[in-house]
Amino acid sequence: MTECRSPEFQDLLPDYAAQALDEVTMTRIAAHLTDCVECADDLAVLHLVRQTRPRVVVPDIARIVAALPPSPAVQRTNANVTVGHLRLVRDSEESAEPNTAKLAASARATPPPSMRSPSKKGAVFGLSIWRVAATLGVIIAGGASVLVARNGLTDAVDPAAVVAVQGGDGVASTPAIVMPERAETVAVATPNRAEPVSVSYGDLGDYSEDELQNMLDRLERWDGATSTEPLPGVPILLASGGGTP
Amino acid sequence: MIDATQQEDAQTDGLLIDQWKAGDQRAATAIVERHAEALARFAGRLGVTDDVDELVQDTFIRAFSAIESFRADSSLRTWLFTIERRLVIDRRRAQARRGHDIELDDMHAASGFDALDTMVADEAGQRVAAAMARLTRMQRDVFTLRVQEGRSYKEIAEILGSTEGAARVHYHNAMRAVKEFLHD
Repeated sequence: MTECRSPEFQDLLPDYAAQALDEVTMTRIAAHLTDCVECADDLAVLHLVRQTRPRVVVPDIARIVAALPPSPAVQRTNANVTVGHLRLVRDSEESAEPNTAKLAASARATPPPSMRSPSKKGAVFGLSIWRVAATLGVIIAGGASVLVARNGLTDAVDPAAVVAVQGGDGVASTPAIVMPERAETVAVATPNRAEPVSVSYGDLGDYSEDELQNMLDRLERWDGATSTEPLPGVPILLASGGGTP
Repeated sequence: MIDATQQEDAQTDGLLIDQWKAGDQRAATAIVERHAEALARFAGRLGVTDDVDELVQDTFIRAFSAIESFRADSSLRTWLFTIERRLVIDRRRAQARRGHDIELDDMHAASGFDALDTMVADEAGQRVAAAMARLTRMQRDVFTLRVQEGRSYKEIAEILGSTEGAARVHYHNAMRAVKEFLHD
């Protein structure tokens, strides 16, 4: 087999087979092929090889496109939308200065609803309830203590007066007071006194200013801790008017 | 010397890339449609028989993620071939680390290329496939890129990480070997 004397044409034979050359070059190579047996042989092989391009399954275009990253313009747009939304919130509440660090600080200062502790509000509310309950407990226990201190033994108490001392809010579960049904009186017994003394609480208006002030002073000095436990040996029975809350 | 077809292809690709950068998602679809089949075919030439779809998809994802680094001094398809070939090499190295017997030496014939026999229907085609299966991996890659994909020696050198001169030598050696096999 003779050697090709125009290797530059031989190099271009694949492009000639693909008809990917300009017209001038195509014509020159065609002329060369009439004289060069080797190049003609190469061209025959090239045509055969080109015909045997393996069949392939065309990939799923939609799936590929869906997996592609967003274009730079789309990324910028998404970033602008996010910043613009934050700026709108900040502008309405603070200043118009475009400072993302400030926005971030603001976001940290006001956590999103999902980050707020749900127990905080309940804790505050619960604390208020306990404060009210503790105050009423102190008042009731203190009032009973004052009566005991003033009159020694009390064997009969007007239920209406007890309710008045309680503030009339139905806090009937205070440990120092038991309110059975059909009870007519409240009997307070103290072992220090020989005989019971019946005391009617009546209305707070029955007390003088000095007595009321004295009661308040004693309440202030009262140790609230003892109000949570029943007085030893002081059974309290409440007459009708009470009930289970 | 190369006709205007490749220049038009390059201009079209460049225009589509610019449109995609500007936010036109349809341009991405057009780019994928233009090159997906060639990438799948090139994957077969590289001996890939499994998960070709996934390989082509990974190639596009990597290309679009690094589109800013694409320079128009080479064609987009050449750039995509380069990425795909690197992905194939990475896969083979990963498989080799897992203990699979995978050929990594370019100087040895590729048994994976035998898979082409099943994709070529007629007898002549099977003889060509058998002839190409005898080539070294580098010869086969150069030959297929040059003949079936129409890449220039410069582009082949870029895809394969070689030189134009080496690509030209590999091409002529491959042509000689194929002719000898076919004429026997």
